[in-house]
Amino acid sequence: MNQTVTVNISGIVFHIEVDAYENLKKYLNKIRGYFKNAQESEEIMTDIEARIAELFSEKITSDNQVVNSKDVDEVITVMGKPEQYVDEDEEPAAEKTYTNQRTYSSAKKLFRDPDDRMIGGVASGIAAYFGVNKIWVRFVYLLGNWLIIMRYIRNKDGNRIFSG
Amino acid sequence: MKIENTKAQMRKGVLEYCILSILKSGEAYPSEIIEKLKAGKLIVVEGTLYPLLTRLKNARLLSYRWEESKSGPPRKYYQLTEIGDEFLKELETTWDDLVKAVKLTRKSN
Repeated sequence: MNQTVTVNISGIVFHIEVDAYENLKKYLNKIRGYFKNAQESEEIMTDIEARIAELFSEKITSDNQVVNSKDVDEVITVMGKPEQYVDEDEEPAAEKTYTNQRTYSSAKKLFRDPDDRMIGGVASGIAAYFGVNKIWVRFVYLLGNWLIIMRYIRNKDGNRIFSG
Repeated sequence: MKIENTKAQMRKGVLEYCILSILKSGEAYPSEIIEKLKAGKLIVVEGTLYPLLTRLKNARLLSYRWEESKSGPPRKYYQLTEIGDEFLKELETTWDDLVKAVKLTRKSN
Protein backbone atom coordinates (compact mmCIF):
# COMPACT_ATOMS: atom_id res chain seq x y z
CA MET A 1 0.00 0.00 0.00
CA ASN A 2 1.33 3.41 -0.99
CA GLN A 3 0.09 6.81 -0.03
CA THR A 4 -0.58 9.19 -2.90
CA VAL A 5 -1.14 12.91 -3.26
CA THR A 6 -3.25 14.70 -5.83
CA VAL A 7 -1.52 17.33 -7.93
CA ASN A 8 -2.65 19.66 -10.65
CA ILE A 9 -0.09 20.01 -13.42
CA SER A 10 -1.12 22.36 -16.22
CA GLY A 11 -4.77 21.92 -15.33
CA ILE A 12 -4.68 18.12 -15.33
CA VAL A 13 -5.15 16.19 -12.11
CA PHE A 14 -2.75 13.36 -11.33
CA HIS A 15 -2.50 10.94 -8.44
CA ILE A 16 1.13 10.66 -7.59
CA GLU A 17 2.97 8.63 -4.95
CA VAL A 18 4.38 10.68 -2.10
CA ASP A 19 8.07 9.88 -2.83
CA ALA A 20 7.60 10.55 -6.51
CA TYR A 21 5.89 13.84 -5.71
CA GLU A 22 8.77 15.00 -3.51
CA ASN A 23 11.23 14.07 -6.23
CA LEU A 24 9.26 15.93 -8.90
CA LYS A 25 8.90 19.01 -6.71
CA LYS A 26 12.64 19.08 -6.08
CA TYR A 27 13.33 18.72 -9.79
CA LEU A 28 11.01 21.59 -10.76
CA ASN A 29 12.46 23.88 -8.11
CA LYS A 30 15.94 23.12 -9.33
CA ILE A 31 15.04 24.09 -12.89
CA ARG A 32 13.38 27.27 -11.66
CA GLY A 33 16.59 28.21 -9.85
CA TYR A 34 18.52 28.13 -13.11
CA PHE A 35 16.60 30.88 -14.85
CA LYS A 36 17.53 34.33 -13.67
CA ASN A 37 14.98 36.42 -15.55
CA ALA A 38 11.75 36.13 -13.54
CA GLN A 39 9.29 36.76 -16.33
CA GLU A 40 10.98 34.34 -18.72
CA SER A 41 11.32 31.79 -15.94
CA GLU A 42 7.56 31.81 -15.28
CA GLU A 43 6.80 31.15 -18.92
CA ILE A 44 9.45 28.48 -19.36
CA MET A 45 8.24 26.68 -16.24
CA THR A 46 4.66 26.71 -17.53
CA ASP A 47 5.83 25.16 -20.80
CA ILE A 48 7.95 22.56 -19.07
CA GLU A 49 5.10 21.63 -16.71
CA ALA A 50 2.76 21.30 -19.68
CA ARG A 51 5.18 18.89 -21.32
CA ILE A 52 5.53 16.91 -18.10
CA ALA A 53 1.74 16.68 -17.83
CA GLU A 54 1.65 15.40 -21.40
CA LEU A 55 4.27 12.75 -20.66
CA PHE A 56 2.42 11.63 -17.51
CA SER A 57 -0.85 11.42 -19.42
CA GLU A 58 0.80 9.00 -21.82
CA LYS A 59 1.80 6.79 -18.90
CA ILE A 60 -1.62 6.68 -17.28
CA THR A 61 -3.74 3.72 -18.36
CA SER A 62 -6.91 2.27 -16.97
CA ASP A 63 -4.80 -0.37 -15.16
CA ASN A 64 -2.27 2.09 -13.84
CA GLN A 65 -3.76 5.34 -12.66
CA VAL A 66 -1.02 6.45 -10.33
CA VAL A 67 2.23 8.21 -11.20
CA ASN A 68 5.06 6.46 -9.38
CA SER A 69 8.76 7.09 -8.82
CA LYS A 70 9.72 5.20 -11.96
CA ASP A 71 7.49 7.43 -14.09
CA VAL A 72 8.97 10.55 -12.53
CA ASP A 73 12.52 9.28 -13.07
CA GLU A 74 11.74 8.52 -16.69
CA VAL A 75 10.27 11.97 -17.25
CA ILE A 76 13.30 13.59 -15.63
CA THR A 77 15.57 11.60 -17.96
CA VAL A 78 13.61 12.76 -21.00
CA MET A 79 13.44 16.40 -19.92
CA GLY A 80 17.01 16.43 -18.68
CA LYS A 81 18.66 17.97 -15.67
CA PRO A 82 19.00 21.76 -15.76
CA GLU A 83 22.82 21.40 -15.74
CA GLN A 84 22.43 19.77 -19.14
CA TYR A 85 20.67 22.76 -20.59
CA VAL A 86 23.19 25.01 -18.94
CA ASP A 87 25.87 23.54 -21.22
CA GLU A 88 23.71 24.05 -24.21
CA ASP A 89 22.15 27.33 -23.35
CA GLU A 90 22.20 29.17 -20.08
CA GLU A 91 25.91 29.67 -19.48
CA PRO A 92 26.50 32.66 -21.79
CA ALA A 93 23.43 34.35 -20.34
CA ALA A 94 24.76 33.92 -16.82
CA GLU A 95 28.05 35.51 -17.82
CA LYS A 96 26.26 38.43 -19.34
CA THR A 97 24.33 39.14 -16.14
CA TYR A 98 27.61 39.21 -14.32
CA THR A 99 29.16 41.81 -16.64
CA ASN A 100 26.04 43.90 -16.48
CA GLN A 101 26.25 44.02 -12.73
CA ARG A 102 29.88 45.02 -12.91
CA THR A 103 29.20 47.87 -15.29
CA TYR A 104 26.37 49.00 -13.11
CA SER A 105 28.47 49.26 -9.97
CA SER A 106 31.56 50.77 -11.62
CA ALA A 107 29.75 53.43 -13.70
CA LYS A 108 29.18 55.92 -10.89
CA LYS A 109 26.61 58.57 -11.58
CA LEU A 110 25.93 61.79 -9.78
CA PHE A 111 22.28 62.30 -8.88
CA ARG A 112 20.37 64.56 -6.62
CA ASP A 113 18.70 62.55 -3.91
CA PRO A 114 15.03 63.55 -3.81
CA ASP A 115 14.34 61.33 -0.79
CA ASP A 116 16.92 63.02 1.42
CA ARG A 117 16.82 66.72 0.85
CA MET A 118 17.05 69.92 2.80
CA ILE A 119 16.69 72.16 -0.23
CA GLY A 120 17.36 70.39 -3.48
CA GLY A 121 18.90 67.11 -2.36
CA VAL A 122 22.18 68.24 -3.92
CA ALA A 123 24.30 67.72 -0.82
CA SER A 124 23.05 64.23 -0.15
CA GLY A 125 23.58 63.38 -3.81
CA ILE A 126 27.18 64.56 -3.72
CA ALA A 127 27.70 62.82 -0.39
CA ALA A 128 26.43 59.54 -1.81
CA TYR A 129 28.70 59.94 -4.83
CA PHE A 130 31.87 60.44 -2.82
CA GLY A 131 30.75 58.11 -0.08
CA VAL A 132 31.03 60.67 2.73
CA ASN A 133 28.57 61.91 5.33
CA LYS A 134 26.24 64.56 3.94
CA ILE A 135 26.86 66.80 6.98
CA TRP A 136 30.38 67.43 5.65
CA VAL A 137 29.13 68.28 2.21
CA ARG A 138 26.70 70.79 3.65
CA PHE A 139 29.37 72.21 5.95
CA VAL A 140 31.86 72.69 3.10
CA TYR A 141 29.15 74.31 1.03
CA LEU A 142 28.19 76.78 3.77
CA LEU A 143 31.84 77.55 4.47
CA GLY A 144 32.36 78.32 0.80
CA ASN A 145 29.36 80.66 0.77
CA TRP A 146 30.59 82.41 3.88
CA LEU A 147 34.03 83.01 2.32
CA ILE A 148 32.51 84.41 -0.85
CA ILE A 149 30.24 86.77 1.11
CA MET A 150 33.17 87.89 3.29
CA ARG A 151 35.16 88.86 0.22
CA TYR A 152 32.58 91.42 -0.74
CA ILE A 153 31.95 92.95 2.68
CA ARG A 154 34.34 95.75 3.54
CA ASN A 155 35.03 97.12 7.00
CA LYS A 156 34.63 100.80 7.89
CA ASP A 157 38.11 101.69 6.55
CA GLY A 158 37.08 100.48 3.13
CA ASN A 159 39.41 97.49 3.27
CA ARG A 160 38.24 94.03 2.66
CA ILE A 161 38.06 91.98 5.83
CA PHE A 162 39.20 89.01 3.97
CA SER A 163 41.49 89.34 1.04
CA GLY A 164 41.92 85.70 0.05
CA MET B 1 40.02 26.22 -23.34
CA LYS B 2 37.45 23.50 -22.95
CA ILE B 3 36.32 21.54 -25.97
CA GLU B 4 32.86 21.23 -24.39
CA ASN B 5 32.36 25.01 -24.38
CA THR B 6 33.37 25.37 -27.99
CA LYS B 7 31.07 22.55 -29.02
CA ALA B 8 28.20 24.02 -27.01
CA GLN B 9 28.62 27.40 -28.67
CA MET B 10 28.71 25.91 -32.13
CA ARG B 11 25.60 23.89 -31.36
CA LYS B 12 23.75 26.83 -29.90
CA GLY B 13 23.89 28.95 -33.05
CA VAL B 14 23.02 26.02 -35.24
CA LEU B 15 20.17 25.03 -32.93
CA GLU B 16 18.41 28.38 -33.32
CA TYR B 17 18.87 28.18 -37.07
CA CYS B 18 17.44 24.65 -37.13
CA ILE B 19 14.40 25.54 -35.04
CA LEU B 20 13.57 28.37 -37.42
CA SER B 21 14.15 26.07 -40.41
CA ILE B 22 11.77 23.46 -39.00
CA LEU B 23 9.09 26.11 -38.63
CA LYS B 24 9.65 27.38 -42.17
CA SER B 25 7.53 24.58 -43.58
CA GLY B 26 4.64 25.34 -41.23
CA GLU B 27 3.68 25.57 -37.59
CA ALA B 28 4.65 22.94 -35.06
CA TYR B 29 4.32 22.27 -31.33
CA PRO B 30 7.37 21.71 -29.14
CA SER B 31 7.21 17.89 -29.14
CA GLU B 32 7.30 17.81 -32.94
CA ILE B 33 10.27 20.18 -32.99
CA ILE B 34 11.99 18.01 -30.38
CA GLU B 35 11.48 14.86 -32.49
CA LYS B 36 13.24 16.44 -35.45
CA LEU B 37 16.07 17.89 -33.38
CA LYS B 38 16.59 14.57 -31.62
CA ALA B 39 16.68 12.73 -34.92
CA GLY B 40 19.55 15.02 -35.93
CA LYS B 41 21.20 14.56 -32.52
CA LEU B 42 21.12 18.32 -32.02
CA ILE B 43 19.61 18.06 -28.58
CA VAL B 44 19.89 15.35 -25.99
CA VAL B 45 17.25 16.43 -23.48
CA GLU B 46 13.89 18.02 -24.16
CA GLY B 47 14.24 20.72 -21.53
CA THR B 48 16.78 22.54 -23.70
CA LEU B 49 14.14 23.57 -26.20
CA TYR B 50 11.73 25.45 -23.93
CA PRO B 51 14.00 28.32 -22.88
CA LEU B 52 15.09 28.71 -26.50
CA LEU B 53 11.52 28.90 -27.81
CA THR B 54 10.63 31.48 -25.18
CA ARG B 55 13.61 33.61 -26.13
CA LEU B 56 12.91 33.39 -29.85
CA LYS B 57 9.30 34.32 -29.13
CA ASN B 58 10.33 37.27 -26.94
CA ALA B 59 12.64 38.42 -29.73
CA ARG B 60 9.48 38.39 -31.91
CA LEU B 61 10.90 35.82 -34.31
CA LEU B 62 8.15 33.38 -33.39
CA SER B 63 4.52 33.61 -32.40
CA TYR B 64 2.18 30.92 -31.12
CA ARG B 65 -1.45 29.96 -30.80
CA TRP B 66 -3.07 27.53 -28.38
CA GLU B 67 -4.70 24.34 -29.48
CA GLU B 68 -6.54 21.75 -27.43
CA SER B 69 -4.94 18.32 -27.28
CA LYS B 70 -6.58 14.94 -26.76
CA SER B 71 -3.67 13.52 -24.81
CA GLY B 72 -2.86 16.28 -22.34
CA PRO B 73 -2.89 20.01 -21.70
CA PRO B 74 -3.41 22.51 -24.56
CA ARG B 75 -0.41 22.85 -26.85
CA LYS B 76 1.40 25.90 -28.09
CA TYR B 77 1.72 25.81 -31.85
CA TYR B 78 4.64 27.96 -32.89
CA GLN B 79 5.09 29.68 -36.23
CA LEU B 80 7.54 32.11 -37.83
CA THR B 81 6.68 35.78 -37.77
CA GLU B 82 7.65 38.10 -40.62
CA ILE B 83 10.70 39.16 -38.64
CA GLY B 84 11.51 35.49 -38.06
CA ASP B 85 11.25 34.82 -41.76
CA GLU B 86 13.71 37.61 -42.58
CA PHE B 87 15.99 36.42 -39.79
CA LEU B 88 15.95 32.89 -41.17
CA LYS B 89 16.80 34.08 -44.68
CA GLU B 90 19.86 35.85 -43.36
CA LEU B 91 20.88 32.81 -41.36
CA GLU B 92 20.57 30.65 -44.46
CA THR B 93 23.00 32.90 -46.32
CA THR B 94 25.34 32.95 -43.36
CA TRP B 95 25.18 29.19 -43.08
CA ASP B 96 26.03 28.72 -46.76
CA ASP B 97 28.95 31.11 -46.41
CA LEU B 98 30.18 29.25 -43.35
CA VAL B 99 29.97 25.89 -45.06
CA LYS B 100 31.95 27.25 -48.01
CA ALA B 101 34.52 28.80 -45.69
CA VAL B 102 34.96 25.60 -43.71
CA LYS B 103 35.29 23.50 -46.87
CA LEU B 104 37.85 25.90 -48.25
CA THR B 105 39.98 25.95 -45.12
CA ARG B 106 39.79 22.20 -44.71
CA LYS B 107 40.93 21.64 -48.30
CA SER B 108 43.91 23.96 -47.99
CA ASN B 109 45.33 21.87 -45.14
